[in-house]
Amino acid sequence: MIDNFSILLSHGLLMFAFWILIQRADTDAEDPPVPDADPEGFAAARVSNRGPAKMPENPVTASLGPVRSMKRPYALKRKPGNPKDLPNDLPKDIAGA
Amino acid sequence: MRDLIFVGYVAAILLLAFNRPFIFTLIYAYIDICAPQRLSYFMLNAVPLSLIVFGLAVLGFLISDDKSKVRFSPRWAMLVVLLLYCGYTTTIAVEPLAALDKWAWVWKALVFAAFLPLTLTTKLRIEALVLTMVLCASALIVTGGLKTLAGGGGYGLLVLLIHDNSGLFEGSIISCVAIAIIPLIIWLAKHGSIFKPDWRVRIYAAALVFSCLLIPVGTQARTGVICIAVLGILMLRFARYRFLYAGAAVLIGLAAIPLLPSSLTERADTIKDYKQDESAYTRIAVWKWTWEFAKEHPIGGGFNSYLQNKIVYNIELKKDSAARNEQFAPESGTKEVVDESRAFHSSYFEMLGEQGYPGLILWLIIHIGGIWRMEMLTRLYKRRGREDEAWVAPLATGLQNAQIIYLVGSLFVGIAFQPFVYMLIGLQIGLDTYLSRRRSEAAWRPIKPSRVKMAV
Repeated sequence: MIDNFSILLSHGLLMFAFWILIQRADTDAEDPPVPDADPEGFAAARVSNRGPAKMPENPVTASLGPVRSMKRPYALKRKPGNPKDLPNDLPKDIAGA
Repeated sequence: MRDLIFVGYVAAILLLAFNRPFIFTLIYAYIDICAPQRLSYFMLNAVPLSLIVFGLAVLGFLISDDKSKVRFSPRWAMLVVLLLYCGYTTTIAVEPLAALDKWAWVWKALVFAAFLPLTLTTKLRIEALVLTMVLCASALIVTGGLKTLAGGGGYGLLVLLIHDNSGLFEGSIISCVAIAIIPLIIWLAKHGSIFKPDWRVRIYAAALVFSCLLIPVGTQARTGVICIAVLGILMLRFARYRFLYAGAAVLIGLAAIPLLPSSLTERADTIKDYKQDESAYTRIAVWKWTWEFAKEHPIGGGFNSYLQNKIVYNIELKKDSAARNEQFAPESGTKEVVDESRAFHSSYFEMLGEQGYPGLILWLIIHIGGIWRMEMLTRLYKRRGREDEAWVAPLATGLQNAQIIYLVGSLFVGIAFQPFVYMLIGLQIGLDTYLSRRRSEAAWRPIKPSRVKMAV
């Protein structure tokens, strides 16, 4: 009696679980993950050059917006010491030094 | 009648699986854990059921799964190396026929454990495997719990569905496994999506956890008592109010002692009083023999090499029991016991005796590597703190706890090749590789859109 109850309960739940799995599409394939806001490694280097992570933009609409007129921030993020890193509008004596 | 029902049930779930071939993998897990061919009398055990279902699972994977999502890990490679190594030691076994007997089921457990991670490519599949393992074990645990409540337990007396002393049907093994899956039951009750965590799921999970805790009481396996203590300590780690939790656990433990059968408390007492316990003495003597055996066979003696042991040891007797029995010398109070072909009674010594030092090292790498990887995942995903990944850290912790409980329990039981545990390892590897792939997908930034933007 106890054995039959246990078999019925566990096997019934198992079959119900299989039935649910058949109904669900994410059993075999799922949506891609939400992109990281702050990725690490190689991706981090690229993102730091481009600014914070965004979804890919339509190039046509992007050209109309303020994105095109924005200054690229990378110049200030590079290591100091290289003359190429200095902003162009510095006085000549400082830039020469 | 039972045979017809089982045949109908297996046929029905196999038909369901043709809609989603991954379910064949779950059905194999069901057959491996519940062994319906053993529960029925003649129909299912007349066909090689597990072989057929495993063939269907592999075929389903080859035909319908997206192989680009498959990833491998060093621990997966270790599992394959262990499989090959066990195959090699079987060829040089000191007990060739007995070794072949064990190899016949060990290789299936290892191959399935290596196959599992390849199929676990979505979160739902990982959850489905956890659920299947828990529900299959529950077939034995519910019956054991109810019989214990009804007073039907006893050492070697608790019958779990069938009179059998192998696999999960053995008292010490089911005690260890029942306690080890408690963290997974709790995870399913909190983060499950197949059975959404509502009041019904929570009640069933609570009843199942209670039933799991009753299994060591019913089987009177001391291993289970130790596993419960380990679980209590592990759960303390993430308890919000640790002192309150520890105090409550001690109080509940003390309150439960008068309710436990006296036979269990007497057996549990022998843990500290091992000098009068023949079983404990046998174990220590077998471990000593295994240590010496490994020196002679450093690369392993093959499966079931324990059949060669012959051990002699002296056991201390209590004064009153020595006086009652005339065959013992009353002045010495000791008894000489001669025993042979005693099992290893420890997974660590089982590995050492059967697979030698290389096998033991491989086995330890697989298990300790699992604990380490689950710890890494827990810390990483707690730090990430993303809402869509909230299920990860608790599952990694649950799998880690399950493995620690198994590793402590297996100090005293020879379950180094228990298929259920290898499914747990396959699950860990699958979770690890799945999360690794998802992390790289989430971190990926296409170069092309930025180039287009700059050009415009």
